[in-house]
Amino acid sequence: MMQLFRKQRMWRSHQLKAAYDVVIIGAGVHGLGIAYYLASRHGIRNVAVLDRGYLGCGNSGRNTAIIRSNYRTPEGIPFYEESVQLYRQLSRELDWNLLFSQCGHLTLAHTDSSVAGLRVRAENNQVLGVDSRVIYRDEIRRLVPAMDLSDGPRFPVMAALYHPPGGIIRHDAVVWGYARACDRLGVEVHPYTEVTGVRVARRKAASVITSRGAIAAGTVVNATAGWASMVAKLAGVTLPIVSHPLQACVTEPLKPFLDKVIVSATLHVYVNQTDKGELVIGAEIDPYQSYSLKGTLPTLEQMASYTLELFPQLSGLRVLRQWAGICDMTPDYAPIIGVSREVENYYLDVGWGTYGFKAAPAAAKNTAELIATGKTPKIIQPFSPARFYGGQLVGEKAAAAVSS
Amino acid sequence: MADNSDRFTFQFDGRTIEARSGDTVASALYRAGRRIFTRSFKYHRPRGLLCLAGKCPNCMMNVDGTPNVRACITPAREGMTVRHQNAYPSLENDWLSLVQRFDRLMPVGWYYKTMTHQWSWHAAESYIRQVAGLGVAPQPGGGSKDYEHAWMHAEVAVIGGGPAGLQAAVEMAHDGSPVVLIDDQPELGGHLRYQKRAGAVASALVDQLRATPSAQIISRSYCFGLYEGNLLGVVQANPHGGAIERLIHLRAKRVVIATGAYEVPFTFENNDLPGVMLSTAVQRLIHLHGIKPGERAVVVATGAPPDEVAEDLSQAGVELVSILAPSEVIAATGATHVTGLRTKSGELSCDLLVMCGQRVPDAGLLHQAGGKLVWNQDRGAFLPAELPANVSAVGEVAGAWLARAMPLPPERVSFHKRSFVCFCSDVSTADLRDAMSEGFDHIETLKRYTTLTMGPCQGRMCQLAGIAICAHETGRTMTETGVTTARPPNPSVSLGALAGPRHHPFRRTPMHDAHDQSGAAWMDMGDWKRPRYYKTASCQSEQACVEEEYRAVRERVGIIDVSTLGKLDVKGRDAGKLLDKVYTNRFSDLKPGRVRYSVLCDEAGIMLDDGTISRLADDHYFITTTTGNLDFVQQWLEWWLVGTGWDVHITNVTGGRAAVNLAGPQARDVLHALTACDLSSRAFPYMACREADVAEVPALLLRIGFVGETGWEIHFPAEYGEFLWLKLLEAGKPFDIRPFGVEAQRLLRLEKRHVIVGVDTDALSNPYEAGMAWVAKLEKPDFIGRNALSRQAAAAAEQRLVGFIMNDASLPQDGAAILVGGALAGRVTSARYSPGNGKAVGLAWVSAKSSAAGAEIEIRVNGGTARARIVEEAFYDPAGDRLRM
Ligand SMILES: Cc1cc2nc3c(=O)[nH]c(=O)nc-3n(C[C@H](O)[C@H](O)[C@H](O)COP(=O)(O)OP(=O)(O)OC[C@H]3O[C@@H](n4cnc5c(N)ncnc54)[C@H](O)[C@@H]3O)c2cc1C
Ligand code: FES
Repeated sequence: MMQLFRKQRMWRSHQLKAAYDVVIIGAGVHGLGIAYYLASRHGIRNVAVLDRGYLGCGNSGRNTAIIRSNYRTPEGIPFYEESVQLYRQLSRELDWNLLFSQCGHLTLAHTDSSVAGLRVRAENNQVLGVDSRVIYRDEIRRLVPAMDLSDGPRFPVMAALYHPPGGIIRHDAVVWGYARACDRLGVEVHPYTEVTGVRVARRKAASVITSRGAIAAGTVVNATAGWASMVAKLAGVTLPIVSHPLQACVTEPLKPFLDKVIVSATLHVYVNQTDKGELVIGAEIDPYQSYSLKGTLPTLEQMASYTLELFPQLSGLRVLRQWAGICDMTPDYAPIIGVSREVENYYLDVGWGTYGFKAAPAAAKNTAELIATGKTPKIIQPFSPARFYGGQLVGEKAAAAVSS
Repeated sequence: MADNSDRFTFQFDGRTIEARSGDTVASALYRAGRRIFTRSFKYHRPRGLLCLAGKCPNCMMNVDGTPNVRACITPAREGMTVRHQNAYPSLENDWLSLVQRFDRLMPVGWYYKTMTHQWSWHAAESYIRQVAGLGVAPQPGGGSKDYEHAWMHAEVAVIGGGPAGLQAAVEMAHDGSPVVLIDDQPELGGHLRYQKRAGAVASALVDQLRATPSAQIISRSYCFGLYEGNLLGVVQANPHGGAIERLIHLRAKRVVIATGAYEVPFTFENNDLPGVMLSTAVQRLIHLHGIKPGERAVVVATGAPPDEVAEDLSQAGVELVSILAPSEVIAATGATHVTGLRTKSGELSCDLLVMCGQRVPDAGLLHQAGGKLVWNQDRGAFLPAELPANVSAVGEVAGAWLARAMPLPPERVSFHKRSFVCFCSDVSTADLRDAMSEGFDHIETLKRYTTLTMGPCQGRMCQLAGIAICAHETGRTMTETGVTTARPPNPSVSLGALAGPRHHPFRRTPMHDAHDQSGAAWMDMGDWKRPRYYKTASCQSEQACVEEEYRAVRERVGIIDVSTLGKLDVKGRDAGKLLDKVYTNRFSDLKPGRVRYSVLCDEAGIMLDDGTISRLADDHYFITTTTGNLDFVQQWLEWWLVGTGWDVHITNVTGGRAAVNLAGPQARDVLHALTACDLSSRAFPYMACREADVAEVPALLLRIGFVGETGWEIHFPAEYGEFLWLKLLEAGKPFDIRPFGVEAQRLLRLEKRHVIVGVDTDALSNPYEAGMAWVAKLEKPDFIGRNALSRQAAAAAEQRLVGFIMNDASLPQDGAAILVGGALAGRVTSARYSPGNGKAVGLAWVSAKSSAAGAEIEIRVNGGTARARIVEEAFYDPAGDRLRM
């Protein structure tokens, strides 16, 4: 109880030191997570996490925070499952409630072919021990009584992939929780510190140049999501990544009436209701590449229109805000984790596109292990940057029409 | 003055309320004596009218079933049903108001610091969800589709119909430029309508504008977004009886923002009690609704004595107890309504506390436009410094007439748990201080941790105070502290208005009605409706009907409507070159009169679409695409054509052409009855095409065989669709012809092991792994995907698309997992019971090492597994003899 009234600073501010063992660019969940696991699991504490804005100002503070492990491929499923398991204990570990609500997650199918697609996922999930199954209208109606399950809509709901352990987390809380734990372990977090260059000599990054001065670095980590390809270029590293905006919006609060996460690939929309009662609605990525963080009217209209296909009774509900994040899309909708080909002490934890929030603990923990030990943990091997040179893409794109 | 002669009634919580014309729901309720309008979000404190301008959260009610409606800007209507929300059982006696007794146990961010066990949070969350939220969601079945979308262009759009906006509109329209003026009030005039001493509404100006032919006034409309390229989102309320709202997409060359300013409250203990009101709200009650707002008033103001407000009050018959500076005020007192004021110099008793608060420019649109706003210490406001070209600001929003009403940042802040900054989420000055002491001392993190500015008022009531307190606590200036990012929509917009009329048209082929009469069971395919199968007198179940249709094709003759295929007509000297570049197969050497199949790959060698291409003449090809991919294929072709300078013209003829596939051993006999074209295999071989009349309809005949029988795909003008369909059925009668649907077609092609791109392949399938190596002509010098395909051709496949036949009678579902030695080894893409084989057959992706012909695999069926054998050849007529008969 007393901790309710403690007034400790979450993280302190510091002068930049001349050198760090590890410099992490990007203070989203991935960058902060890597720093946390380096310090807590491997005793590497001379670490700086830099961000050009406030902590979590990137996609980590802009996403719809859907957590699930019902992926499609044998590579993806165990990886995301590890992440869900880590999230389950993370509130305890960080002594900071991340408000992780495993309320259940439904992916809807409105066509024959998407029913078959869901079945592939359910089958693979079941074989690999993840709780997920295809359910039909009667059961969907029991779980989500507020949804329109009649034949009325243009594309009536036919079936859903039900994933009971899936759910929602409070995204900012994860950022703050990791940052606080980093601070307690001696890691420095430096908001408002933009990286503007990386000095590379003989295929090794020597120092990182920032808006607050240059710092020497033993190891450099790029965890900058939407800006990953531009930041990589500072070190002469080329990434097969294109950046697309992804938009979302939130409505005024209503008394909770929807306690499942609803995703529809056919309708390019996902909806859930927060504990405050607001509906959070997400869209599909914008079809063009851009770094613009401005919301657009057509996408907002689409989100509204598709939400009303599922919940026509909400036509009078008002949207309070729309926003965009910049998503780093890879050709196979799978991340890039590992050492860059061009610079030997330059690590990548990028390519997280529209789905990287849920992955943060597993990605960060394993990336930290890779940095600390020099050995790539098996679970992240499929995501190595080398796959693009050997043509070994991961098959998540097939399930990734709307992939948060 | 409201018109007294015209009275009507509506219902509030089961009671009848009298209203006058010109009333809003709130003004009528206030006149009837109501002072509590809602309960606050977190602590369920009583809340009453604060701004009377739709800018705070204090009057949200349920109106005719719609939750969260602001009573103070909703016109009262005869017979409407209004209910309170967020209070149980009643506004006066709300059980949850007990929570406020424990508000000290809920310091800012308390939920992050407790319940860190997954089980404890899980348990607590369900309680939180029982009390969270504001209004109640309408029941399923509710909601309305009565919303409209409209589009408009203007030379100039002026937002705001106050004196500055009016003046600007008149000036701009002077030379005949098209000007649109958007104003959210029922009448023009802005603040002059209720601030009587600021001057009269310049009716001459209004008249002049109304008389200007190039000017258009859209009242009761608000602009919620200024998007890229000066696209304005405007919502017009009740444009006519049949529409609730109309969203106007207004594109203007120049935008003039004249949105004025609004007043915000002071922060002191209990500043949220009903009866504590902004001066502009009081003036609105008096001047717009003829209401005496209270009996005994205290006015809180800095700077010049607010003569105007004092005069308004006394004229309305309110006793003015005192005029005080905000620094004098300690707390408002009262349980559910203000009864007095504790000041530094003693207690005062009153039933109305009028705050002459700071006026804040309504600059949301300027922010959205990317304008740079800087703090102006004299005006006490963030004012536009740099604006994008073609956006300007006039009047109060630009700083005119503004004056600072208090020191900013404040010299002292009274930190108290009940001194509210954010009325939406009950965030107090104490909460802000605590959050900053924990390190959330940047305005953006402060906002996210405390939820300040994130509620229904969108920061209007709280943003300035939040910035001021943040600056005060951190010792930074207002400029250094800065504002949070302003995001559209602002004001908020209903989902209904955004979604618009929600017509989701579907496409019907020209034969649609004929299918209906034949008993079609419909399915969706992209935008189209297609018969899945036909119910007839002779079959009851889908399975039985499909099998009958199947037998008709295999044994006699069947006909299917394939009008939904994408159809592109490609003409020009370089047409062959383009097709060679984009498709994997070769087309420049195709002879006129011949047809060739191909797939189309992206640069990574992934199959995106497939179809047949017929060469009609040297410079003329005809492409079919799959039903869902037409738009993509057309764009893809156009994309690769850009910059080549080639002579190619691509025309989409999908809607203009109907198409049928007539197939079966007796297809030739049926067609022969209707055409003079020589259909013999010698004159018209497999994979040939001819133009000929069929039943006097000019048609293109392709001899191809997706379903594995002799057959013709017939393309012809859509206007003859039904005519020729019926003619063919009639000509087929002697042969007992059957129309067949998509399900039978899928079964027939599966027996032939024909792949459907997008069903049997996915976003990672290349032709080699799919067993279609022959379709990629690597010897062509260059085409899209060639690099990747060359590498794939040389590499060992990881997985392969194979045919399988079940060992027993079980039928796997599409998508079933394949196991080898208990481990995941692939998936079924299509599986059907094959009447020709007496067992289920199918296609499946299997890891390459387990994919040898004859190998056994296990497939998950009904929770268990069943065994199947991999088959290299087609399940039906592997040599393809029947196609060439
Ligand atoms: C609208 C939206 C919805 C989403 N929904 C989901 C979802 O439901 N579930 C899910 O799992 N994922 C979702 N995602 C994806 C998810 O948000 C991201 O994949 C994830 O947050 C990435 O985290 P990160 O730490 O890698 O990146 P970020 O949080 O973006 O952090 C990168 C940081 O790098 C900083 N940076 C950039 N350049 C520089 C520089 N030069 N110098 C210093 N710092 C720099 C940025 O300021 C930023 O803070 C969504 C994304 C969006 C935009
Ligand atoms: S009183 Fe209605 S919104 Fe403020």
